[in-house]
Parts: sequence; C-alpha cells; structure tokens
Amino acid sequence: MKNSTLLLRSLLIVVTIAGIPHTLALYVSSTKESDIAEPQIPEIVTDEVNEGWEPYWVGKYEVSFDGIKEKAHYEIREKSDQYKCYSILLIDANGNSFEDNAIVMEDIQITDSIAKAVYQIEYEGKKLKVDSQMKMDDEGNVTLSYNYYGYEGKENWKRLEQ
Amino acid sequence: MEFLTQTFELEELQYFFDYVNNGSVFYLIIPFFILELIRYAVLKKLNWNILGDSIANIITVVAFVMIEFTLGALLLYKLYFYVYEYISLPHLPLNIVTVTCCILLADFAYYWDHRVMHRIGIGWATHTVHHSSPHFNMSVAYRFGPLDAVFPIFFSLPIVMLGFNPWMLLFVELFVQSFQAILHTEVIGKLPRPLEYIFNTPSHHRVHHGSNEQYLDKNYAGIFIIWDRLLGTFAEEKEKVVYGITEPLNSINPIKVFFHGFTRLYRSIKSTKGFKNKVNYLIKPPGWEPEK
Ligand SMILES: [Zn+2]
Repeated sequence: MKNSTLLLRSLLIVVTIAGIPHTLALYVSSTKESDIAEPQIPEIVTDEVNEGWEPYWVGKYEVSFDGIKEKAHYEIREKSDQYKCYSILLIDANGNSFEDNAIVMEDIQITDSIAKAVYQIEYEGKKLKVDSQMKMDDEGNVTLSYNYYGYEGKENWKRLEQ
Repeated sequence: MEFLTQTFELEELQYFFDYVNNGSVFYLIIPFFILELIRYAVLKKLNWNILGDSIANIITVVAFVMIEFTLGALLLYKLYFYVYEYISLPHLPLNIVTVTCCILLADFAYYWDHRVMHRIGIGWATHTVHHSSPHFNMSVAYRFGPLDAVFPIFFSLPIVMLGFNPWMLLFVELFVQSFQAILHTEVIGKLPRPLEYIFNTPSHHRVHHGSNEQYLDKNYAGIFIIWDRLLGTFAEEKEKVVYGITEPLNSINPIKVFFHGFTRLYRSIKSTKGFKNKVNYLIKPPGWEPEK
C-alpha cells in the first residue's frame, strides 16, 4: 500500500472516531448546560448566616481529610494584605503528632465567607496544585473542596480555640 | 438517547476497568495458563525449556513494570496532564460514547505503535523480545522488552490532544493490552467468521508471531483486526505457524532474553562504518544492511 494511501486512511479513521464524541458534546451543550469533565470546583450552597456575624479567616484549624485517619493543623496568616495558609502540625493515624512547616496555599482570595485558593497537595508522592474553594460557617469552621480531573476531594477544617 | 450522554465519575470507570484489566489475570490468564500446561503434558511436549521460557517471561514483565512505573512517576504523569491542560481540544465528558471512541482510538494507536516497532531498528530492538519465544502460550503475552513502555507514549499523546481524559486513556490502554494478552494461546482454534472478521483472535495473533515468510509483519492489531484489513497488513492463518524470530535466540536466560535486541543492535552499529549507516540501523527496518 502506498504511504499516501496509508496516511489518508489513517487520518480519516482518527478524524471520524474523534469527531463523534466531540459532535455529541457540542450537541449536548447546545441543548443544555454541559457536564464537561474539566477540573471544576463543586458549588457550595450558601446558606443563611447569623446576623451580625463577621467571617474571620486568620487562625488555626484542625483539618480532617475524607477517607483517611491522618489529620493536620493548618494556620492561616495575614501578611501585608495577603492571606497564606501553612501546615503546622501533622497527626498520624495513632494520634502521634509531628511539627510541620509547609506552605499549602500561597494566596487566598477571600470574599466574606467564601474563599478560593490554589491548594498544594501531595497525591501518591507527587506534588500537585489544584484549584480549591472554601466556605466558612457561622461558627468559624471551614469546608474545603476541589476537583482534580474527576477526583473529588473534601476536607473539614475545625476552628481551634486561640 | 439519554444513556449515550449520561456522564459518569472517573472512579466508576476505574472500578470497571480494574475488574477487567487486573481481575482478568486471575479469572482468565492464570486458569488458562494451567490449562495450557496440562495440554503440553497430554501432548507430551512439556519440558524444561517451556517452563524455563515461561519463567523468563514472568521476569521480563517484572522488569518492564518497574521501568513503566519509574517512567510514569517521573515524566508521563506531568507530560500527559500538561498536554491535556494546554494543548488539547475541548475536554470530552465521560460517557459511553467517549469511552467507546477512546477504545477505538487507543486500539488504532496500538496498531501503529506496534507496526512502527516492527519496522524500525530501534523499535524492533525492544519488541523482538516479545517475539523471541519459540513457544506460544499465555506467559508469552507478558514477555516484554526494555523500551516497550516508551514507544506507546508517542501514539497516545495525540489522543490526549484530542480531548480524551488521560486517566480514562490509561485504563483503556491497559484494556487493549489485557485483551491482547488472552490471544496468546494454541488452545483456541478459529472462532465464528463474523468474530474473525472484526476482532483480533488467537488465530490472527498466532500468524503475527510466525516466522514463516508469508506471516512476517502481519496482523499488528490489538482488539480489532479491521485496522490490518484496512491498511494492508492482514494475513489469514493457513500453513502451520512456526513461532519465533528469523534469527533464533535459543536462550531462556532472562537477562539475555530481555536485552538481546539491544545487544544485537549495538553489535550491528559498532561493526558498521559511517555515521549515516549507524543511524540507519536505528531507523531502517530490521534486516537492513549498508550497501557494500
Ligand atoms: Zn509484534
């Protein structure tokens, strides 16, 4: 078979097979809001908050992760109008704790009780940066969520007394 | 129509493919291999060479998986997600149509990857390992060469560029490999004609492993034999297949098995004169020799 025939047939095969799901996706998005599997941040429903309550983000939190026993303490610090978050203590499954000093969020964007940040996590030994969203309830506790190519992560940050 | 566009979670997909890809080793491959050993015994063909060959095969797969993991952890992971993020068509939703098309594309990529490995010197240096066994059974499916994990990268990255989720592609590629693995047997004869027409079957794949003249460089398919039919590399199993490579290896030493392609290539390159000839050994089809 001639090389040009090989190339032509191969291109035709690839374009056809890749074209089908793209056409379908276009069709679906034209009829309704599409569910595209991009890294997307799950919406957090904003509920009513106590009147007169002011969200205050700076401080220490005990962090528990979905599905694992290990915990951590995080601290949000403010320096010249920038909010950063550090991991300050790691607690293993047996309750032993180890001091830690690692930055997990460089720049937290806060709007009242909602905040967004690039969250630096470790997944199977690799350091990853994922977009995350946080929401504070009226007791000062925080729920954090992120979505990394379909893997959803959720964390509860319990406010620690100062 | 609804079910075509119903999206699912990556975890569900992973769960399904784990069952098929990893699970099949236990509910298909191992029982089948035992059946093959019994068959060898009944035919009075069971000997130390077959057993030693099988053990060498298992050792190559361990070496191969170690290379694959190191490569994956260091490079592939970042590369695939970088490409997916920055040089890709719009990301496709995970639904039954996307998964089906991903299987077709990954299988087509497998065809080309496989064909290239047969037709250029450096590709053959690694892939010859898989073909160098004089036997044909399930354990041969796991006989891999040192760079067998490297070549597929060039063929699967374009699929990521087409908007397919890299995780899904990984599951699907393992699925193609798993399907391919169960074809390595003499126990199954020919299947019903419609199946033999569309799918790659043990019969078609025996041909691929033949060193008979008319079987050389034929039937590169993974799951679908239609690619060979469309691109002119199909051959039907007629004459009895003689397994192995044209220049036999005659060894069950796992180290020799794993590296013999590269030692042979190195010798050819070393003994030839001229830079152009040396490069040609890497990119020309196996068996190429400089003009005298
Ligand atoms: Zn081959």
